[in-house]
This record gives sequence, structure tokens and C-alpha cells, in this order.
Amino acid sequence: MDETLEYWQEKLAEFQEALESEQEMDIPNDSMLKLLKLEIDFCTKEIKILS
Amino acid sequence: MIKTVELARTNIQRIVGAVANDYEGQRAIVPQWKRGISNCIVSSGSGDYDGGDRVIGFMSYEVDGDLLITTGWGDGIAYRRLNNDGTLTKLWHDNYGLYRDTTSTYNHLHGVAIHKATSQAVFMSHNVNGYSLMDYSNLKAGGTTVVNERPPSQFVFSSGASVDRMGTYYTNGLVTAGDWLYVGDYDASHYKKYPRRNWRTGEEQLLDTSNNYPGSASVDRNGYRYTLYYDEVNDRVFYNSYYNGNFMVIVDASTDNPKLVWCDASDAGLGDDGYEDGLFVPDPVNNPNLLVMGCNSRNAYVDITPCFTGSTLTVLKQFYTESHPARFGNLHRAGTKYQSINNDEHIDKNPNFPDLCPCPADRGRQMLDGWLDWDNSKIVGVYRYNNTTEDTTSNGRGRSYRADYSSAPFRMRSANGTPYWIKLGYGFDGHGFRVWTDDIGNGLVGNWEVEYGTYTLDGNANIDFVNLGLVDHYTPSGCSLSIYVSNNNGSTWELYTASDDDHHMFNSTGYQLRVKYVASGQEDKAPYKLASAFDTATYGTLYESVKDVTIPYKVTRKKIRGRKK
Repeated sequence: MDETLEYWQEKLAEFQEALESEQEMDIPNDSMLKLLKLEIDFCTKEIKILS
Repeated sequence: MIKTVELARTNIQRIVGAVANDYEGQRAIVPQWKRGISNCIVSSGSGDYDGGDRVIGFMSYEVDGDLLITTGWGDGIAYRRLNNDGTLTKLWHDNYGLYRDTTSTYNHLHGVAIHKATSQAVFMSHNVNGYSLMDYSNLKAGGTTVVNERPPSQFVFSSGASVDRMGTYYTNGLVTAGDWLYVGDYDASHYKKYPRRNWRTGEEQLLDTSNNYPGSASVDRNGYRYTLYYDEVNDRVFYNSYYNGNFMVIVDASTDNPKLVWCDASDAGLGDDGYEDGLFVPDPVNNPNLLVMGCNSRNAYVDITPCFTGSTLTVLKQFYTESHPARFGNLHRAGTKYQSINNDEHIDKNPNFPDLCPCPADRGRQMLDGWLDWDNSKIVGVYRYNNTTEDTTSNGRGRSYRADYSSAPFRMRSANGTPYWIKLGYGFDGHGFRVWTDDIGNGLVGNWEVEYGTYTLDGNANIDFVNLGLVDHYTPSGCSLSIYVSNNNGSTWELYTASDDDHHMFNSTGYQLRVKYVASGQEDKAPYKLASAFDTATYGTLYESVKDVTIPYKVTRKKIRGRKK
């Protein structure tokens, strides 16, 4: 899939959903939370550039 | 007039078969994989490809004939059939297929093992208790149903140890050897012992020092958070612990008489813990005891032969995961699920280059997949997908597959025997399935080229000489890297052979400098640059008198001294 606006929006939604799930876990994984927040930041930046 | 410039990623004019990056201190050029996001025949995470596709776990899938069984982090368990045209049909999926404790269900999991003879599968996770034991025989018979009944307890193993979670984040702590399911606890419940449960009878055995291989030392330190591997060629199960850096090898694992061989990695100087992941046996037939194992901040190539007689393993090579600019540790993944290249049903080694040890992504690092360079003891790969420039056009490849977590691509066959390579992962392209034909497979492109430019001098003065400052280039055996320079914007090229401090004098006249790397490699290795700095080019103009070969000259090297105060 090319890196279109649609691609980054789809990835952003996936990472946001994943972050929500991780935060709800009994024992959240800090490393995973950090990674998901990083990916959300990157997706957001790409969306801003393409919007 | 002299000028020095960086051969920066932004100066790349042309790139073929390679990826270049500059991200978080890494300045790399690495060969691409032949597989890309556009030369696959399936690239989807929706419809038949939705569900059980967020495969976060290292080797957290199973193959039984044309059935592919996957575990997803957040989207449950799924069974699919590989069709003759390479597409997949989803047969059964349950987001909440994992029975947690005694009352609820769960959707984040990464542990799976199957018993083909009885068409059973077991599923677990590391972060909640419980397990599911399924009968998928109806799928084998062409149906679409799976029997998944809640087990009587949350413990997959309960005789002398209570195991209700497995593996670690995010690895597989379940493997099958013959009729036995081996389980590695996330916690430390099977203290210095190794549990196995019979798939057919349910019998549970806790292997201990009474099962030692004659001559082997006994386990002297308990590990926990186990990742398990099965070497199907030699019938050996490996228990490798995240904490306490040693591993146990269980030989004759499928038999009634398994034997324990204690491999003390920390006594061999490989660190106290086993943070890194993976097993890779390059030649399991002729040299079964020479293998790569995840150790402390390194994947180590070791000889475990001495362990059979109570001695410490021999360290042969160490692939450090944290050495700058690699920065892949910890939990760095290096290895394959199976060690054979002759298994017709399922392999994840390159059948033509069995030494190729794949290093898939973990925690958003090594996102484009890497490999081990045996000659230079390096883990080769770019840190992330960010700030990369790569070839997206050759062979219809498109950009590289990227994921936060993944396993090596594996080959399975459809009902009529057609082989396809499949890649699973989590994050980005990982949320979905990618399928490639056998000719693309899991190898590197091999040959690559990168061209930098165009650099000029003030007033477009002629460029008569150039010196290149090359930083951390590596050329594995059997490969070559040639460097060419041009002072006329690539109209003509001259081979650059100058040594470090020397310079190349151009035969042509021109004012536009270009530099070109031409690498020759193959599917399992190729030249690469893994550095923290860009290469540099220092170039300039000489006086006409110096360029006139009929006039003898000598460059006077004069040391410039500072004025004394």
C-alpha cells in the first residue's frame, strides 16, 4: 500500500486502538505504550504533511 | 580550491536494490530484500485477511498442510486455508478465542503449538492466565468448524508446577515434539524443571536432573520467561530464558526418554540474562551443535558440544545488538522457526542459502528486517522505516515491508503443492497478510547501486581530484564493493582506487562531481554500510602547472605551525 493520506489515517486508527487496549490491560507494558505513542506521533505528522 | 561535502541521503540521485537511511544516529546503506510491498500477490488486512492478523509474537503461527493458524495481539485466533492461487480463505476466527482463568475470554495472545496427528492446537498468552485447547480436525476434513471448549482449569500444566501463562513479551513458549507439548512459563513456577504434557493422553511430566544427559552438568540457576524452540531435524527442544542467561537443551524430546543438556551461557561470558531471541542452526545435519542463540545483548554463535560432557559451551561469534549504530537490543529476533530446508510442507530458511539468518522486527526496531553477516559479526539492517530512501521501482517491488514486530517469512504449500512465502507481523504492514511467489522468496536482492551528487565548486571551477572518506563499510566474503567517481555529472565514470589519505586524479575535465557505489552480492549477503556518519568527498581544483604531466612537480608537505605567544 502506498503512503497515501488514507494509509496513514488507517495506521493512526490502528495504533490508537492498540494504545487504548494496552492501557486497559491489568499490567500495561511500558515499552509497548512508548512504541505506540511514538507511532501515533509519526502517523499524525504524516497526515499533517499530506492534508 | 578545495571543498568537503557529505554523501548524505538527501544527495542520492539514484538508488537500485538498496535502502539508505539517516535516523537516530544511524547512517546506513543496506541491500533490500527481494520481497516488497508491491510484488506480492496478496497484500491485505481486510475481508478474509482480517482477524488473527496482528501477529506480534516471534514465530507465533503454525502450519498444517494448507492450513495456516495465527494468533493476534488484540484480534484473537484464526485458521485460514492457502488456496492454489496464493490467496487465503478465512475458515474460522474468534477475537476472544483464548479462555482466560475460569470465567472470561481474552483477545491478546502470541503462543501457539499444534499436534498434527490429532489436529489439536493450544493457545496462550504471557500477560493473562488461561489457555485454549482446540480440535480443528473438521478443517482438515474440508469443513469450517473448530471445537473450542473451556478447559477444566486455567493451568495448561499442573503436576508439580502451575503454568497458566507462557513465553515472554512477545515470544512463543509452546512447542511440540512428537506427541509432547513442551511449555515454558512466563513466571518461575517450574523451578529448574521442564514441563511437558502428552497431547494424546494428557499425561504430565516435569523433567529434572534425573533426566540429565549422562555427563551433562545440572541446571544451576533457575530461569524464567521462557521462549521455546524446536529443532525438528535433531528432535531437540530449547528452553531459553529471558531472565538468567542460560539455556537447556532437551535431546530426544519426542521420545519417552528425553535428556537434559545444560548450556551455561553466562559461565561462557555471554552475560547473565537471555534478553535476545531466536535459534538458528546453520547446518543441523552435519554440525547440529553449532547454533545461534539469543543471549545477553547479543545473539551468539556457539558450539554446545562441550555441554554434553559437563563443560561450558564454546563461543564462536557474537552479534552485539546494542553496539552503535545497530541499536536493536534487547529482545532482538534472529532465527527461524524450523531448521530444515528439506521440509516440503513448511520452511522458513532460504532453501538455496541456508546460512541466511533472518532478523525480523521487534519493538519498532529492525523494521525492514535484517540478517546476520557471518564474516563481520554484524547484525545488518536499518533501525526503522523513518528517514529512508530506497529503490521502489525495480522488479515491481515497491517499498519494503515494514512492521513493529514480525517473524521471518515462511514458505507453505497450497493443496496442489504450489509454494508461497507468507509474512506476518504487528503494526504497519503487519496488520495483514503478505504473500509472495516462490521465485521472490526470502532472499536479498544482492547487487545494489547508490549514486550521490551533484557537487560543484564555487563558480563551477573544474574538479581535478577527489578523496573519499569512507566510514564503516563492510564487505562479506564473496561480495565486492566498487566505487566510481565522475567529474562530468555521470557522463563518464572512473574507478576510485585511492587509499585512505590519497586522492583520485580525474582523466576527464568537468565541474560536476558524482560518486557511485556498485555492490555485488547474493541472496544471503551483500556489502553494506553501518555507520554513525555519512561518507565524505573532498574535491578540488589543481593549478594548470600541476596538471601538466610534462612539468615535473613535487607536492611539498609543509607542517603549519601555530605562532608562539
